[in-house]
Amino acid sequence: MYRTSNFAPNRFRLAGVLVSVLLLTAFYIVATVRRLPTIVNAANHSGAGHSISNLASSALPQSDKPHTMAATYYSFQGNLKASINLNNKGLVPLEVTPTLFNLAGERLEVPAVTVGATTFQVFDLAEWAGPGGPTFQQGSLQLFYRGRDMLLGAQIKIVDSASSVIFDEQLGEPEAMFTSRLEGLWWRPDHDSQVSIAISNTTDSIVEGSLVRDNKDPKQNGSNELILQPHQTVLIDPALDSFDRPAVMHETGGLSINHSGKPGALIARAMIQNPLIGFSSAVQFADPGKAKSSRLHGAGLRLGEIAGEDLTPMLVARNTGDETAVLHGRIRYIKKDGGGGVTLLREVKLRAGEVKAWQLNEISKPQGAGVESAGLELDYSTQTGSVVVSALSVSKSGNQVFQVPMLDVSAQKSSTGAYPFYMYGTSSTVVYIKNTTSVEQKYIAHLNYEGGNYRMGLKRLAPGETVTIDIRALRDKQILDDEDQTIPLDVGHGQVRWTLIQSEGTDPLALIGRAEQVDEVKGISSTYACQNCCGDFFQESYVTPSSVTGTAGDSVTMSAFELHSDCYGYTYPMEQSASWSSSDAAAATVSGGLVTLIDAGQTTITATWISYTSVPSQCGGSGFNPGPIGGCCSAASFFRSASGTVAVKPHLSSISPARGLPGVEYGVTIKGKGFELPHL
Amino acid sequence: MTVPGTDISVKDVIVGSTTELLATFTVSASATGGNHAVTVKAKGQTSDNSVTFFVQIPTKIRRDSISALQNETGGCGATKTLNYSLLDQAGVVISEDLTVDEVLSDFTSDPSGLQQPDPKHPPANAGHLVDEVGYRIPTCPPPFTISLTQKFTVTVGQTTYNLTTTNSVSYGRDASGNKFVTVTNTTP
Repeated sequence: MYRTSNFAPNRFRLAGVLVSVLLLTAFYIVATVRRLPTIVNAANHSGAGHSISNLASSALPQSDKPHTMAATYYSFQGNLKASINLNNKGLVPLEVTPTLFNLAGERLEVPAVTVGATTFQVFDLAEWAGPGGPTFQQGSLQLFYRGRDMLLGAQIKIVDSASSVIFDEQLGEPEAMFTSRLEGLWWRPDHDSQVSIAISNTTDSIVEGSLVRDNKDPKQNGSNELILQPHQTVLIDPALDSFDRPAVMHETGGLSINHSGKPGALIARAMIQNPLIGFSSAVQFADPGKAKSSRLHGAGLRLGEIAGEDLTPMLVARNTGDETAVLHGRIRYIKKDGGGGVTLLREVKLRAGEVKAWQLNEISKPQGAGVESAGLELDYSTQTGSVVVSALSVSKSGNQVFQVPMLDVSAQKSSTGAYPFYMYGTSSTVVYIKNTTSVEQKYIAHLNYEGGNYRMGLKRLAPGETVTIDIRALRDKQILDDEDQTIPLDVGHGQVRWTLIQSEGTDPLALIGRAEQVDEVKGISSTYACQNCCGDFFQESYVTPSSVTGTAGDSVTMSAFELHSDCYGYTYPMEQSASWSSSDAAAATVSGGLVTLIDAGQTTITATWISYTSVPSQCGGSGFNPGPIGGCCSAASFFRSASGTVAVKPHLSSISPARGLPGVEYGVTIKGKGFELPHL
Repeated sequence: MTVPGTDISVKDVIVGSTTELLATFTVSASATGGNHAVTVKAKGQTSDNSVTFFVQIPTKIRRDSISALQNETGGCGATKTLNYSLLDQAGVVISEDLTVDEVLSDFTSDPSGLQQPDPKHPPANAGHLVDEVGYRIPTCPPPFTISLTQKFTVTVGQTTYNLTTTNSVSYGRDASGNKFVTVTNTTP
């Protein structure tokens, strides 16, 4: 029951909580030190390096835009442990103010926490909720921060390690919802699996609505009236609780929520579990109003086997529309031997309101065993948002479950990602990036960790290709990055960032990605996908080395770069393929960046290229959604140039005679190179 | 072409090719001994290194060899021949044709009253000089001993340099008729 008078007594400002938070902070904080580009001059010539640093926060327009993120449900009752991961994509520490709500909607304000720049921190929700007493062992949660859109990523994990049960929920901003309708589904691997639904009111007002259970047998359908007090969370067993008629729960079913509140007033998720076999699956309810196309993409479909068990990929789909939907799907995969292929999935028809679950048997087990990475694509014939889909790979025992979020690419904010990575014990992070288009795309990815970073350089993705980045493998195999660096073996956590590198004519939303946190031994996995507010943009161009001093006959390779920045000011260099010229070919010539020093003098070496990038200052501020830098900016072609100087100095090798007496005149011969011949 | 300071002046620079320069160096009479850096500037660019021109200050002579006693035939006499090299302050031979002047002092004789020899001026050809020490007289006199100190100077242009080499010289004939010449070098 909502009681205004209950708010004040539940406000806690306890030092104990703060101490615990600080202890956790000390363990997880990652101070990122960005590597400057190495300036190398041939023959040890001196050369001034081009200094690169991340944009100071003041270099980008500040944003103090308020943001509230919400989680439907947390619980640390019984064997459950609940933690929240706060991922700060910005360059400065971010203050985050959490508020917990118990099931009744009573509020517990938690002291603000500060998340370090470009890093993540994990907090134990039991620590946050402790001052609130037993009623706060479960409830919902909100986070408040100020800054640019999507600056903070957050994910709650509810875990029972002993039973291999995990429910993860990535927090979103309720205000980003488009409608007051939520659509979900369930799939149970067996009759012992329990389905529970958490529905949370994110507002300070009473919200009324209905939950409709759409069972396979129409006679089993039912509805449940919802009246949620402010910030109240209800847990519903769709088989029993409060429906106008109880039901025998089938393997699959649908759930629909309609409410009277503003979009985002209610958020919901379904949690399906059978602790006896270690099965768990979380289903996020979808807002059909967000959909912009009838094509869904999933990055990182697990095939083959894991921990000695065969994985079965499968799809669960529900038609929430009024017409029969025809589904066509494809699995695009890359084999471990480098080959690739496309497996077309059988056509599936879904009648209006129908829910189906089916195994993707089109890809055989031997075929799946040889797959390095795979992605899933699904088209449906009905109107946008009318089909909700859940994709997953499940081991035979049900213990290993890998969910693949199926995304409407057109509805994404940007083709970027900034995820936490974590490699302790048996837990590892794998990143998937999928090209959702029919043309080749390029991306760049890097890891930030305490004491350095790892730049994977410019990579290409074939049409439809999904790449798998196994961060633990990169570290353990000491694989060199683009700058011949390796990830130190003691690095256990950090942040991985990636972005689409656009080419003219390509879709700015061409790529999707996510991170999968996997513990094969414990049989738990979770998925995380957090984009940046906008695509990256051009900051400046330069060549390196920017200054070269040498002597005739020396050579040095110059490289042209653009400095790109994401919308949070995180910068990184991008090498460019350029045309090169020398202002004085008598002093030095250049070809393909290779500068050959000829004779004494000074020359300017210039690189020119065409760049297809966003430049916020040239966007004019029009046509963009409110964003951190005046809005996301469309890319365009720009002529770019950058220069460096080369000084060719004479070099002396001998003098003869090399000795002489005072009061005597000598004819001296000096030998060397780079002497200026007189102009006749 | 540049040599910092006033010790060495450069003139008549000729660029023979991009790899060879010719110039005239005039070393001041008062030039400081030692290394003087030489750099070259072309098209506004100063050479990335330097070569050194070493100003040699005549400092000493080094005794390279001394012969056995040579009896003079057809009269009375005994000599020893000494080969020297003229060295600079770094101990390097000064490969020039110069004249070394002998400076004699501390002359004593037994019996007294014997004639002091005249100082000689042996040439140092390419830094090498030869000196002969001893006596050569028509008939053998009674026993005698002559002792003296032998020092050297070198004059280059108008400047005379006192060399640090000192020889203690003794020669004569003893009561038994034995001739002797001793040259003890005390070059520091």
